[in-house]
Amino acid sequence: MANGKDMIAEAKRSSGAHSCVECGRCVAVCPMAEMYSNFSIEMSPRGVIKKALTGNDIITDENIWYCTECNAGTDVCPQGVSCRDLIRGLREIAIEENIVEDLKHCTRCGRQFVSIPVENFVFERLREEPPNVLDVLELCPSCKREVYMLRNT
Amino acid sequence: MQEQTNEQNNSITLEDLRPRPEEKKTFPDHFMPRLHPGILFDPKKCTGCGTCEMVCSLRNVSKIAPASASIKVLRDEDSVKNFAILCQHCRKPLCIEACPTRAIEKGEDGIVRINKLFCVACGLCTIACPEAAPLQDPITGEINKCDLCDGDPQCVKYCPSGALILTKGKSFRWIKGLRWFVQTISFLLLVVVLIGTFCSLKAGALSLSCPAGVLQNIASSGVVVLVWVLSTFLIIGLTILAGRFFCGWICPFGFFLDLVDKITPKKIGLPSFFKSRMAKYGILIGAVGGSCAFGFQVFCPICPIGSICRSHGAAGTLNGANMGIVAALAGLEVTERRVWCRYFCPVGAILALFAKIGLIKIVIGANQCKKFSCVQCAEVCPMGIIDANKLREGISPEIPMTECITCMRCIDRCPYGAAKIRFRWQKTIPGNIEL
Amino acid sequence: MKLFNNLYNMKVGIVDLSELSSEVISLDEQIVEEKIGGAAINEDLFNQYKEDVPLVIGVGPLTGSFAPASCLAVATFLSPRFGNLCHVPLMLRTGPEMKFSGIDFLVVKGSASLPKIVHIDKGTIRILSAEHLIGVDIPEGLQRLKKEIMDSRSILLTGPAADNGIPGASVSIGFNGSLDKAGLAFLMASKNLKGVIFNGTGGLPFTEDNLKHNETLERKLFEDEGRKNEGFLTMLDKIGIKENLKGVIKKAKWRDMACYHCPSPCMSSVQFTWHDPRKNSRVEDNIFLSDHLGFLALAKKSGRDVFPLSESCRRFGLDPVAVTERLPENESLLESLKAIEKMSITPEEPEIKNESHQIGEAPAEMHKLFGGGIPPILPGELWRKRVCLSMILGVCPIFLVRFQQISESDLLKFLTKNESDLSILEEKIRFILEN
Repeated sequence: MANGKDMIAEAKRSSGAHSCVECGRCVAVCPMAEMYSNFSIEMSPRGVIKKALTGNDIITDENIWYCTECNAGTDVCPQGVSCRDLIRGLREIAIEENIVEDLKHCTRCGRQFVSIPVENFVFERLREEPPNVLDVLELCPSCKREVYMLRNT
Repeated sequence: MQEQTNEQNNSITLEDLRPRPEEKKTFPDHFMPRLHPGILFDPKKCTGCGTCEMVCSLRNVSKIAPASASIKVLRDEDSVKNFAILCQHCRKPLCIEACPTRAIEKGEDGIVRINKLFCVACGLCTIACPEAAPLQDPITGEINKCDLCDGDPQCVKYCPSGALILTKGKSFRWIKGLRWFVQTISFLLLVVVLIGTFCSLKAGALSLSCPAGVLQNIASSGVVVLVWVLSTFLIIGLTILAGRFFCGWICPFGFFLDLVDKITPKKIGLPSFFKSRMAKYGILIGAVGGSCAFGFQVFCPICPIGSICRSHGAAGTLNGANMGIVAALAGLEVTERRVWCRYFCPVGAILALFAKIGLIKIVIGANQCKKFSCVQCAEVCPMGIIDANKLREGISPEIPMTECITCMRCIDRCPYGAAKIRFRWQKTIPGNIEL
Repeated sequence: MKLFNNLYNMKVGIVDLSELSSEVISLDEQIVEEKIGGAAINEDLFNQYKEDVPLVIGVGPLTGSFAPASCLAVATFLSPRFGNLCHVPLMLRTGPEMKFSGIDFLVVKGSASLPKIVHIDKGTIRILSAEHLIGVDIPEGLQRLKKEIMDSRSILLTGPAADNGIPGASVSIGFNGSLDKAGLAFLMASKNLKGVIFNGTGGLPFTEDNLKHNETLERKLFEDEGRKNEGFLTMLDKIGIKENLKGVIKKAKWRDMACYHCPSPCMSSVQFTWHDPRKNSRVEDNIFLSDHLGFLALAKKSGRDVFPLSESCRRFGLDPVAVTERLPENESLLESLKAIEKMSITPEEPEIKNESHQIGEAPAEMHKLFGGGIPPILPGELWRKRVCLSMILGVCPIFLVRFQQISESDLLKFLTKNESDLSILEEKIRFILEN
């Protein structure tokens, strides 16, 4: 849709994606490499930027949902490209256009707070914990704090 | 961190660069374990002033910025209560598991720290923290975790009402030594020196009469010998005073089971339909009823406690059935600790009935307890009556004194003095923190 | 002076509700040098924008710093109830949150056609629609706001009483009420300003030696008096309390609450049970008491029912003193509750109140100048000087009035340690105080 294309173009522009020189520094610091056994170039910041710049089907690509939005890539980029802003912008467009939404909703307040692949990683690492602990992890940070406080007073 | 591609898997992984720390237990750890420092919060004293946030943020970002502190005061407007949340430096921290770059470490002093060299501020530790501790700075996204100010926490120092207290956790465990000593002496006395003293009623004027034995005797013979009944009062009196103290400190079979537990540390657990604590009452009733029906004490010959007591010396050896039962019960120890004591022992059943009206109780004080971040008492309890799940949710569990064998392992182990012994009538609603 | 640069953002927010526009301009350094801050600069800004009927909210240089009780924000406006220029103190966490949200002074001029809320976060001002909050009582309104707007650390809200044009309406800081007896809420409603939200996520670099200075001051405070003079009740004792209240007070559970960085709480949260005639059952409730004079007025009128009546006033955003004047004598609780509810709906003409409506030693004029909420526990001129000082510097007036040991130079030391600067500042303050 024309509107969608404009928004993608705007996301690319405001994050500075056009300045990417593909040096790969962002990939070197990206924690995704340690999180996902199927980590691939397409999932890496460099890969997402490249695909966004060369094609318009980046919105339906599942690879934009793996990012933790930690901003480490932005910190080391010599060109000042903010991969986090790009990912955020693309995710917003995907949600708004109702194409796909791979975000986890807090079980208490319903707000989205983390993407599902990231959440799955955390659960995988913590799988030995009993269920009532894992339940707490399904809450967004502010609900977690409220629940914690209510239990303790 | 290295880039891994799908084709080559021979690149260096994180496991090689920063391996998970091993849980090694050396001998001194048994008596002087690692410290578990922490900050305890007393909600009764908190006035909600927020000074703790101010001084913490001063340390984190060199500014007064309460939003960037590693401690957060939650203010509930409905119930008008305040609660401070901060990192509890858990014994088994979940954040360490969740960190993809292994930037978090638990130091020798027990403090959980973040190594800024490896941290990429991904925020997964914040998601994984069960205590909802504020780790991520909402503005810069940097992770600033409480590190107890390296041992001298500012928030504790500057809290005007003293609601925050630093505790290093006591570490010396003396009850353990005393108990093993008493158990050994009692074993030697009851088994080796005074053969068969516990259950046999023939050791002269002095004997510790087994209450189950006396009951079966009365049922089978229909005769009540006053002096035997009176001599059971010794044990029953002890139970009313101190709960199932006999089970935890004196019973020779209990000692035997504790030794077996030492060599079978990993427990595979029982399926839930086996786990009825009522079974021992059933066995008691069966023993007494059977004695009444058959005219002799049906349970005493096969009783493992008796078998152990009578096994030493010229007259006693473990004959076939006894040997089988003792061996089978020892074998069951791989499933849980003190299986016999929990589910089958009729002596324990009688003592449990008296412990119900006993004078003391074991309490786990909610304010001093570190709840999720510790849970050592639940792990170390041989009778498994401390509900770890409740503790993880932040509720102090009620401890049934009918099951508790007063071994006091929980009291010994608790570094914060939250697990304690109190008289039954003493109020155990969380009061002020006593240190 | 350069020393103010670290203490202020040096920004003023101007909101024009008629045009629905906002801008953030720099704070003129000249004004800061002359007037230092707080109520003095507020007045200056008020005179600057006089034609547009402005409401000015501002902080002082010490707000948010390590000075004790540095919680103050001052609201300056033409009082519809008293008819003169009023400086009302807004405590709890309003001042620091405002400063840390990026602006030091907020001027709201004009009036909107539809109800609006001003939201300030990270130096940006947003004007949001608030039609869905009209007629909704304060707790419900707060809940809705918190759900909608994630970043709302400090909320100033008016209640349904203000929406209906009641002159006795009072603004509420969160659900905690305020010392507004001058009709701030009425003024806000006439501008169609439903509330102001500050989200203080920033910070200012106050220095560490300020912290040490505060420590010395606190030690001085408590060495003679100790910590006995704290809480809402001790304040009530100072301004007079009736005997028949003692019973009601004893039955409730009191817990001390303090404002931002206040070492000696003067407010309390109370847990009380009362018989609700509307539901015909015993209800347990909590209330945050910060308004001493209001509570006293209600207590004089209807001693036993003071808690539920206070809560009712809080709920509808009404000033308890104004309510007391209109409550009929010797009414049952049910009637009183209904009357309060009715009061929040029926509009009346604003009357200029000429007489002072409180006991106390401060002259009525002075009392009205500061909103009529600060307990007058010192003789006239001294009270005026202390309150003026607190309003300029940005520390809590009740704190300064209670603790005379904290001198002017003690507070100024937070600004500078330089002797000559100190004396210059003292001169300036004296000058301001004269006018």
